[in-house]
Amino acid sequence: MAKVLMKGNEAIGEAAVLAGCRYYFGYPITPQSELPAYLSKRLPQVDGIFVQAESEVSAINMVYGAGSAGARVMTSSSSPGISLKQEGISYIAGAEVPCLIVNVVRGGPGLGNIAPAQSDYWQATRGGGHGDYRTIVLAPNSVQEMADMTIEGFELADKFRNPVLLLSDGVLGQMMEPVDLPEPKDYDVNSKKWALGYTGKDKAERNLCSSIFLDVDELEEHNWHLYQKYQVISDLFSKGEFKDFAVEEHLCDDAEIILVGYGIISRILKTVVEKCRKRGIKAGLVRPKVLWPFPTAVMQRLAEKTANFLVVEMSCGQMVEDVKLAVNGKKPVYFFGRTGGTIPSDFEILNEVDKIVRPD
Amino acid sequence: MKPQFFDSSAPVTFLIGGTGAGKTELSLNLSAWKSSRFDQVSLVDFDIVNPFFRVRKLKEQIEKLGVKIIFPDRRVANGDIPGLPAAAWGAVENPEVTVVCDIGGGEPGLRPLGRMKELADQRDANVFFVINPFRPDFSTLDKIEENFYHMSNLSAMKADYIVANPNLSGETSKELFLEGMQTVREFSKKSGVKIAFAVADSVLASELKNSQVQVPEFFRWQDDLIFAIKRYWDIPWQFGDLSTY
Repeated sequence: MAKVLMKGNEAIGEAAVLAGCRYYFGYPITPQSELPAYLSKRLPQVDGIFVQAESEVSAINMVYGAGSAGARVMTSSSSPGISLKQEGISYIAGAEVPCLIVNVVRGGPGLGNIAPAQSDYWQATRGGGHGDYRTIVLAPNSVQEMADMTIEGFELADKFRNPVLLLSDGVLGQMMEPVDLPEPKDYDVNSKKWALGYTGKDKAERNLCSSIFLDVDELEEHNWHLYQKYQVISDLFSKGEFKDFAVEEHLCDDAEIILVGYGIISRILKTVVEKCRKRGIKAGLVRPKVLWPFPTAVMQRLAEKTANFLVVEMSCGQMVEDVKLAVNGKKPVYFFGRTGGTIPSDFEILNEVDKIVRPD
Repeated sequence: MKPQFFDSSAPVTFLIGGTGAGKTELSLNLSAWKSSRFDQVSLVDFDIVNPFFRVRKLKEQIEKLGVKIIFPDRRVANGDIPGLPAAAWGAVENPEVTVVCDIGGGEPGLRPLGRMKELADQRDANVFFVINPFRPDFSTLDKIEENFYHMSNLSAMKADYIVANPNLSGETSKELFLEGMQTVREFSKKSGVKIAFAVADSVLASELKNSQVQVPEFFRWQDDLIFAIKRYWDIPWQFGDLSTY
């Protein structure tokens, strides 16, 4: 297909259709409303179903239902709306139902504002709902990746029977860039043997998708089963087939300082790295493209040889904790953040680098 | 036959079209261009829908050019509450003022425009429909046709002219521009609505003109009138300043 000029929110919508998603349930909220608006027009064209639910809570439970039936299904919202969905996400993770959840992050806590932010990192990677569970968290940094990771998100969700969260922000959702959209994929709604809707010939018993295990032994067994699945996912992302998909390293080999940032911040950090190099500071960049599982192994390896780490986020410091856990006290890990909708400039970040590398 | 160009001295200009057609960039440049020719120029930010990338974010930059920006009360200016600036009516009504109205927000943004219609007719407003044939909703002749009439109806305004804005942001080559122009020309021919001018950013415009352009400026290129513009939202992190997102 020829390139088109799209907003990040629209690119997610079109990519979902190309991935075979035919069900969207959601509720509008700035700055992600272009996504439901796009799908409300687009899904009927491909015999899909778009429902604007009466609330985020309803929407996520509709996702639970459609996912249990074997469909490719998604929902989206922005921070306060994602908070409302947390109960449903916990149920979905417990029942091992694949789905895609998009968070176009805005400022918080509470109603906050509609400007871009990265302050939902903890909620996304630790699980904002109750119980021992994990969601795979993808962090695009361009409109192209909004599309690519949407498609990859559906694949990962199905592969691991797990909810996948696409963690974006207001700028990525709203900005426009050229996008190269892939060819549509065929998706067979009757391909999941565990699904309620499965009607294959080898089907003998009725399926059940549930997160309720009243017997203590059964629940403990289920908890350890989930835990083991999360371990498998972690291993695949740190040393297996998704290793290159999970993290981008840029000029790290000879770096005296490594900047760490995800999403839109990583684009600014790339400019900072270039400017540092022009000024004789050997800077590098690590961009986690997958936030859970976090690229711990990469950070551990780099901590052996790199002197300093500077984590930059549009929050008061959330991912920095994962970097510190990985670096494990071997090297100093510094932090610089802006919040409330302000996006740090390359100039501000350069100043921080100077303070660390050239303290006098 | 040479195309007929629009009357650039028209006192009131409305820019309508689909989301992401390039109306806001055009409104910034058009009002800057007009401010070098007319005493009082106002730019009305009518974007009641999209809270990002709105004219009001560039208030200081634009006011330095001598353009007055009109947008809703500052207490709600950063909100996602639809609000029409009352001062817009005053500006459009005032015969002393040259006005450019940026009607953002796609379909829902166009609806309130009907309230402006009577006033717009009184001042012989120029209504421009901006088309970027590289946007998915305008990528074929059929899609342009459907959305052009649908959106014109929503706004209750009849588009006097088309503004062709074929671009893929920073990836716009001359070939791509010409390919896009072809699509827009076909629609213009079919609909009978003339193309007032085509938009090109400073890089492309300099290539077409074969010399450095002074943005914003109009120049003739082959059979077309080209409006060379400065890109205010140019990939901002390259310059390290996304504070105006």
